[in-house]
Amino acid sequence: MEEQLKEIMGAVFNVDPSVIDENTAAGDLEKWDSLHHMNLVAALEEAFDIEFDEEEMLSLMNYKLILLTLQEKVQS
Amino acid sequence: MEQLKYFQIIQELNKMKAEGDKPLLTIRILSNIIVNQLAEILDFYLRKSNIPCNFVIGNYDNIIQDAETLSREEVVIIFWEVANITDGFHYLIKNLGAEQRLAYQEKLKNELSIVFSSLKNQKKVFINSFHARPFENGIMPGPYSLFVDEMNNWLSITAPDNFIKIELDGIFALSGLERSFDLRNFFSSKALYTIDFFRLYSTRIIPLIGALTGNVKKVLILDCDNTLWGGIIGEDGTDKISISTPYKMVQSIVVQLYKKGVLVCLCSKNNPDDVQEVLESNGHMILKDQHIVLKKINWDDKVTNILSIADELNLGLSSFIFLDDSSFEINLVKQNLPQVSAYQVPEKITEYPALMEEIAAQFFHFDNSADDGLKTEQYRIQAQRNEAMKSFHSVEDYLRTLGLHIIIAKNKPEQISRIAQLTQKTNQFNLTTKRYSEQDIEFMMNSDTFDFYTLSVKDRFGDSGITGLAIIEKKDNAAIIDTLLLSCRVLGRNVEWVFMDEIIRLLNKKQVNAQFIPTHKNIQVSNFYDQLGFIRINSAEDVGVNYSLNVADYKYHTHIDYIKVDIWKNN
Repeated sequence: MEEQLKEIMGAVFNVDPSVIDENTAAGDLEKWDSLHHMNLVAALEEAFDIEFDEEEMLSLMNYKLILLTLQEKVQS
Repeated sequence: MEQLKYFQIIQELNKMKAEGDKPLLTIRILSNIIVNQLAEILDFYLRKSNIPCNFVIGNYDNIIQDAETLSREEVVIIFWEVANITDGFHYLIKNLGAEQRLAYQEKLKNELSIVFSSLKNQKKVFINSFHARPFENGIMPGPYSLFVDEMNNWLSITAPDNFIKIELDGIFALSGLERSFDLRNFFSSKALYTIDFFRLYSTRIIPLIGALTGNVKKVLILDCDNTLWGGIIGEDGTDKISISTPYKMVQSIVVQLYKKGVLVCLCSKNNPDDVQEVLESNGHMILKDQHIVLKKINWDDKVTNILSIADELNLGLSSFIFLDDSSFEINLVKQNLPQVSAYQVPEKITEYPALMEEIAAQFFHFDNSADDGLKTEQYRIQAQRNEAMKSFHSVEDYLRTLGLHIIIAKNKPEQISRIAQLTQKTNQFNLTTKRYSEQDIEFMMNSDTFDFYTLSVKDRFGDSGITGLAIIEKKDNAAIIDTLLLSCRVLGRNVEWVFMDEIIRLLNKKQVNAQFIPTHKNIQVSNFYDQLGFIRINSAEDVGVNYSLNVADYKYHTHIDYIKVDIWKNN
């Protein structure tokens, strides 16, 4: 899952996936603005076949939180 | 088309963009909601279809202002959402009085009118029909739907000819409201549509954009058994095949395509007499012998047959669609001829007419030029000519017997539609491959700068209609050949030389400049101007070769004495 998350973030923010690590947060990537955040949510929901609620969507602002939320969602 | 996930689309798109294919068009998206995802999804599918385009997204909710600043060459897509004509309109409308409703309608009409006038000379503008989804979906129209209906009627009546209205209801029906809209994003970020919606929207609009770039389908190649009818004539017998309603629906669409000028061919492994018998005497057949331009009914493999169809029609494989029920044949064609779009007849025959509708949409083109209906007839005549040719010893001898007659006309407004079509569809004998819409041509013809010379070719076998074009830009003592093209239907008859002779005479200038711009398809004319005695003045490989002709040095082709020329003069 971590690998796929990095791949998706790399695609959405147009950076090499190796740039993404567990400390990556919204401020670290030039392209991570509100438009690209929407793209990230759409890409994650489709790739993992899940749906975030509005609160979750807004909270996905760094790698660790995204991973945690994904793990919860995918397991349940 | 393959169904990639959204992030895979972005990945692939980034790779394709890095390859840097030269964009054929600039597409500008204007909207009063956020539709940024459309740009990358449409960009991806266009590149997949070999139509690389450059995308520009207008400023959010700035349609009127942006429309004023565009270059005429740009193609525009407009997402004008009634839900956001003012903040919260989708609920405000519920309680508006009649007067307020009218006031909003007037305001929207005024704004649209400004955009119409800014964009009326644009190459093409695609504007979505207005809709009340997903906010009002009842079986009785509410205030929102009534508002939308009035706006759509007005739009149809008022929009300039270069505006194409895109109906979204078909897309909503296919993917369902839930998969088309994402209200979470609408409430938080004014983004209304989902990735799924944009994906479907893109696949639907691609044939329309393709038609603007000359990337159009022209030929439909059909298998017979279990494709035109149910059953196998070789096994079941010609009288035992079943032509049930779905097959009749499919055949009706094929005949409709024939009437639009699509070249319908058969390619099947059968005994030719059997197929002929069905075509001629089965009363249930809607598709008849006269609708078919070429038949390859034999036991050769289909790749060989399709190549030979391409050869005989003198058309590129990328303009071909192939339909067969056998996955073996489909895969064989896909592997060996990837340029051909291959479709397989669905296993459930009830789904077949819908597939055929989808295929028919691929043949979209903009004009409704009267010439098209004649086309199959013309290609048939071409086939007869080819037969006749075999019995002559030299091509000149043969040409002499044809009774060739060309008519050159200058600046005829009634030819605008055909002129635009020629620029959009001609790939091989086309020196600069510049694509123009009808609006472009009309604009240029009304200016004093450009002259349009068209060429019509007749012979004793038939009339090919308008099949050649020269667009000349006038500059002081010189003339510049902006466009020179000939439809492949009239090649091989030396009319191009006589056409050039006459143009040079009619121009009556001391100097003529010209350009050759290479593409994948026009190599056959790479030396055309050299052969005419034009001098190369530079030759940058990627942009093309510039030529200049001192008219005093031009050698007229007086030895071609078997082509009669008429000039259709302006009164």
